[in-house]
Amino acid sequence: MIPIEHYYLVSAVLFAIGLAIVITRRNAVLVLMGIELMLNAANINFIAISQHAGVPGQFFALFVIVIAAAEVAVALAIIIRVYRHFKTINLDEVNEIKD
Amino acid sequence: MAADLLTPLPCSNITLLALIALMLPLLSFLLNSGAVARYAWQASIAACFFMVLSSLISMIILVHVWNGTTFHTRMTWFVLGETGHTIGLFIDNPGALMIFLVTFISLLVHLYSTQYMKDDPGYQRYFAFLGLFTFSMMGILLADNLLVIFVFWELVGFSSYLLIGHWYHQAPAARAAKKAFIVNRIGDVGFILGIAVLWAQFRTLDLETLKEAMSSSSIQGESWVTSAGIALDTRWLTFMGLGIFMGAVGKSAQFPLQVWLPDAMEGPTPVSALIHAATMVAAGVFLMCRVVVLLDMDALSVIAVTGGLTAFMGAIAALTQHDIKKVLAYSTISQLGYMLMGVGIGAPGAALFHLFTHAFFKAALFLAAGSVIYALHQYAHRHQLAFDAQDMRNMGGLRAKLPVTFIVYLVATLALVGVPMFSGFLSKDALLSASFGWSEAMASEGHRWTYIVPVFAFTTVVLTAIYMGRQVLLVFFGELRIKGPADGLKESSHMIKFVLVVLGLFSLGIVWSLDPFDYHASWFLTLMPIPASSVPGLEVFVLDTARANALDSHTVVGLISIVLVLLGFGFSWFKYRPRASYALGYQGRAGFSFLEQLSFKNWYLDPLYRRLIVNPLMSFSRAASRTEKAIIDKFIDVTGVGSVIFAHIVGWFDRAFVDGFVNFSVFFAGKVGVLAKSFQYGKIQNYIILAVLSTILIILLIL
Amino acid sequence: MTEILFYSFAFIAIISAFFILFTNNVLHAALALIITFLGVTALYVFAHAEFLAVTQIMIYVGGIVVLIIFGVMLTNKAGTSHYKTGSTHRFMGAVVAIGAMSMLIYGILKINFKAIERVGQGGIEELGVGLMTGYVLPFELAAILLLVALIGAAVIAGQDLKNTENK
Repeated sequence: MIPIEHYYLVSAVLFAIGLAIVITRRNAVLVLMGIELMLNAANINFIAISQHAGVPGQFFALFVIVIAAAEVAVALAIIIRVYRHFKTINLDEVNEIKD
Repeated sequence: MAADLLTPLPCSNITLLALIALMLPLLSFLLNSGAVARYAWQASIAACFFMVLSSLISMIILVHVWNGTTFHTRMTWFVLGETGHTIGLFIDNPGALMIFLVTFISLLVHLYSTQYMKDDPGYQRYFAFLGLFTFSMMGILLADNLLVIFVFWELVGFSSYLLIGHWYHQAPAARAAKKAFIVNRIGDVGFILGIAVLWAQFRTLDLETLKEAMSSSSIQGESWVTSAGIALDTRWLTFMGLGIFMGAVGKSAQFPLQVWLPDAMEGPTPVSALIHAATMVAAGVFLMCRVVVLLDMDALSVIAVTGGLTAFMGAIAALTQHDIKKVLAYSTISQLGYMLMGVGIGAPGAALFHLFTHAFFKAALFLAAGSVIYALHQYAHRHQLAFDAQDMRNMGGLRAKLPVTFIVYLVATLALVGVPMFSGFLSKDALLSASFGWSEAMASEGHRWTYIVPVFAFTTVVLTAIYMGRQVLLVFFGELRIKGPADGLKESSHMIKFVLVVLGLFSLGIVWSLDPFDYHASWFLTLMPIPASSVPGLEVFVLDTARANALDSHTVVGLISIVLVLLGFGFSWFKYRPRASYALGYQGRAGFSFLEQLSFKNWYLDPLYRRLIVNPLMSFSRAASRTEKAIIDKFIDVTGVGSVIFAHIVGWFDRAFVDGFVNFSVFFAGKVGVLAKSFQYGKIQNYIILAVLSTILIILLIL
Repeated sequence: MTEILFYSFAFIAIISAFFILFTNNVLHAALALIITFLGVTALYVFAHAEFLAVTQIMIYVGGIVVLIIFGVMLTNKAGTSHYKTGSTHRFMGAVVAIGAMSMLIYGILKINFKAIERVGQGGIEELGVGLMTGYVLPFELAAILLLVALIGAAVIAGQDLKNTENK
């Protein structure tokens, strides 16, 4: 039996990596990947706690997956639009607010 | 003290009728001014109809007051503080006669004007103003209160201004209207000062109450004390009388304010007949008859002398005029002088009598002159001739062409000159006798200079005969001086002839007295009450003596005046007869001797006034205007510049400090904004960094 | 044995996550993401959530990652950039990530997991019954959400296509 803390620690590490990806990468698709990674890290928590607390954890994880799917679809659509408009998806260059 | 005398008096049928008679001309004014232009003719007929009604009503009133009863209705008008002002109608014998005179003459003028003015573009306006004028004239006659009289007095002045300036697009008419208005104003200043003195002394302006109050006041030493104990210097009593007389001087064209009347002849001829012969100028005389019981001896003497002087001056000025209407205008001034002289010598009844006879024969003269002018106008129009239709130099020999006009003119002339059997003889005889009696009575009191008044009066009789004889001879006898076709000069329409004949009939002596040689037999004078004057300090017995003397001297005076008239006619026939050198050379007459100039220019009064009053006044105004520009404007300019400088300083302070504070706030807010903005420049990852960092910080704080 | 397997799968997941973080090639990153997901799926299995493990593989690996790879291909000019990309904010990213991680670990270590009452673990039947009874409303809402996202994605991405075709 694996202690729940270990799941949580893995989840925390993955979440931190995902956050680092979101913050540092230039490519919008990579940022999206980071978001997916963070969502997955959260899911690990739900699943881990469901070993003890029962089914609700799995339901939450399930809905998170569904929402992640929807989110990826919309996000990719937006990325494609952005690419058409700016001819790049480099987040440094995608900026219309000039100071 | 007068409070119990100022109680409201109930309304009677007669005063109600008088009110209707007063309102009818006003209605006519409203109707004529409000009617659509298309119905101007109908409106004017309605105006005539209103005047018929009004004169019928005044006849009824006259019948009711014939036996000497008076009707007085009064109500409180408004209350100022403690003192109430009343308004009311007062009708006595002279008043009723005057109402009848005004409505009747006004009716005749209305009828005459429907013909005379029928092609005039201002026809409707003309009739409206006639109504307004008649209304205001009636107001003077009916009002019981000096304040109300003054209001109507001004209204008369105003409507006469409108009527004189009927042809306002012609410069002389506009100028004459202005002149009449302004000269009248000068008189009115005196009038309102007199009213002010009366108010100060008696706290009322109701005439009946004033009479009572005047008789209860007394002279104590140097002061004039009322029964209520209000004391004024006695000179104020004289001043009051002279002030009111000054109003009459303006309105009745007396020396020195007579200059407006000749110029007023620029108005339409029927207006001249109505205003400047019968009614408006008579308003002054009527007013003086009303207030004669309030005048003291000094004021009366001044009035008498002024009247006599004006009579003389007017007659002299009439001698050499060329304009047919101007002769009549100066003659009117002269006759008005007679009337006021009558007031001054304590014979207001005789003055009113002369006012009446004069109103009819002078209206007849004016309207006949209008008929002549109208006929000549038509003649000129028909033959495309251009000449002045009012200038006697273009007339002559009209006797055959205009027979009715000629006869009426002749009758009225004889009446004016004072030939026995005609109305003027009676009234003039009454005045002459009274003046003679008065100066005798005054001389016996030591005032020998008063003989100047009858001297003026008798001289004027001669002069009147001369200038009227001259006019009749020059207009109606001899040959027509205008070169033109013989045909086309004919009598005007029947309406005009009818009016002339009616007025001519009233110029006959038989209408006024059954005995055409003795004015005492006249019904008119028996109607006139002898004024019971009770002004403190007035030597009543002198006036009584004057009346007695007048009775005694009547026969002699009558004979003298007949002789004088014959003398005057003889002179005028000798000088102006058709084949005489004057008549032959009249058309091209230009050169004047000094005396003729003096007469023609009306004693040089106009240039004199221009030099003595108008020019100094103008230069004073110019000087005042310059002073205004140089000093007051400068002061204002300096103030303005100072304000501007001050404003600049304030503005600088505003910019530097007030705005500075605001600008600093804005600057500060802007900097803060820029600082805040720097966190949001579109780099989404920076947002995330900040968000996460903040979250971490918050959690750390919570933990 | 399970412990060794657990830790090795966790290690794989973390390693490949790091690879995503550091690689410059987007396509390699996408492939590394697959490996990370698979590692996480293994963790699910260890936690007795078999249904979710299967769902994870089907949706993430079969759907989402494929979508992402499509996205990568659609947003790169073919042949020029070789799917290269860079990174920014490295320092701040490290600080934030390490800070977040240390805070999370600090929190996790403070939790007393022993206190959690064991109520029994959910089997797949329980999951199915729950979806049709107590969780039917979120279930239907999720269906509608997917539909809306589908239509929205089509609208957002497809709008310009028409215009470019017209041109």
